Amino acid sequence: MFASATGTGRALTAVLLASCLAMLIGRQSSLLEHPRQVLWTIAAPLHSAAQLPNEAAEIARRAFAKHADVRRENAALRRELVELRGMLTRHDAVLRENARLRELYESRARAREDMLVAELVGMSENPVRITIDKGLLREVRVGHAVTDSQGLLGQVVETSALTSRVLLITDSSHSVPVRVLRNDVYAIAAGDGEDGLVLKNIPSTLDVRQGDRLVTSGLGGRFPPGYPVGEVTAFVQAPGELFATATARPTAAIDRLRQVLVVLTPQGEELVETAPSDAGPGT
Amino acid sequence: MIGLSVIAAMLLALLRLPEAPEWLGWLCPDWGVVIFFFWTIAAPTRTGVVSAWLAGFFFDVLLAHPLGLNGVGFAIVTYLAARFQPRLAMYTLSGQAALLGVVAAALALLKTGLHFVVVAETDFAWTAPLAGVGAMLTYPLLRLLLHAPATRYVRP
Repeated sequence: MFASATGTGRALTAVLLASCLAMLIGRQSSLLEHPRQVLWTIAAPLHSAAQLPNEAAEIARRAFAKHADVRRENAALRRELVELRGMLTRHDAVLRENARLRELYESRARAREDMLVAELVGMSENPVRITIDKGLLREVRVGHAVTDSQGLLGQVVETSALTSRVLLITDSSHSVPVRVLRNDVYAIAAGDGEDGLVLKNIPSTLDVRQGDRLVTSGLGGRFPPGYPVGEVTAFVQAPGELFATATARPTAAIDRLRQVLVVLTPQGEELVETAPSDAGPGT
Repeated sequence: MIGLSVIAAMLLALLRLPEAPEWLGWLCPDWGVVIFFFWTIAAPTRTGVVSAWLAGFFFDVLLAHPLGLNGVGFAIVTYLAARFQPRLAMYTLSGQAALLGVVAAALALLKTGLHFVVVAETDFAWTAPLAGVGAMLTYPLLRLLLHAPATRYVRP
């Protein structure tokens, strides 16, 4: 294939320049997003294939699990199912009542969001992103919120036809508008780059305490309102400072993910109803 | 066969062992670099700088790297191996492995440096050169595995 050493040298120079150019273009514009999507769609089955060793280990673990253990687990799951079903009936009634009340207040009813169960098939480090096995074909789009069974996990940042990549709420480049469940105080929860959240630059008079539960506020329109985000672990204020910082622990079990839920918000649908205008800082 | 082993390299790159200790992850070599080094020495007419570079794009999308990043290392290692192929083919196994270790460590540093420059939120991985040690240790195993299929190309 090589005519001469100089030919190879020229090819090397050309591809190195092309690489630099591609990286610069990828950084500055969205021009390369479509080729990326196509390439990733072709390569996507490899994600599932790379999961096989872990799955085999899981199957082996199950195969050797004691029959009694399995029966116990089954009974526990059944109990949980009945409990959840009971809660769901109540939930439905509350939703209906909520819609009626909203009608009375002449505010828009919230769009009902569809959920899609997806499986975790990979993780890339530096920066940390998780890969899930559902993509454009299942209507997953960039910007969709992703949760696990306990709380908000992150949002979709890249998609292929078969897979998507999710930016976690704990990533230092991620922020989510939240509301304190106890008193409807609004704040922004940013990721701390490890496994927690920080509420930066909140007024020191703000009523936020340890143990407060944070849910998505729906402000900004990216995340649907009402999903649990975290629990405040500490409220730190340097004496004399106007602003304080609070730290929080995510509700979602980010370190032991297996299955996640993608919240399929209809495209172009307005998520936010009028936020209370007096929702600013205050006690 | 080359294609298959490149796909195998992609799988290895994607493989995650949740229970493995952290230092094992640091030692994890850039599988594409090891594979292209091997094939360029074993079958120099079957690989090329451009094809190695193109394969890099698949690694980019799978590993969430910016497009073009992995291709840099693959192209450089393929170029070096092709340029010095007659000499390298005479080297002993340990000689080849040691050389690959040095090259892979340098390329890993270059890769993390480029990644750091191009993507704002990445950290500069100071452990990157350890990937060279990993490459050096896994190369003999790889050559053992691929030696038989590779001889097919040498004696047509």
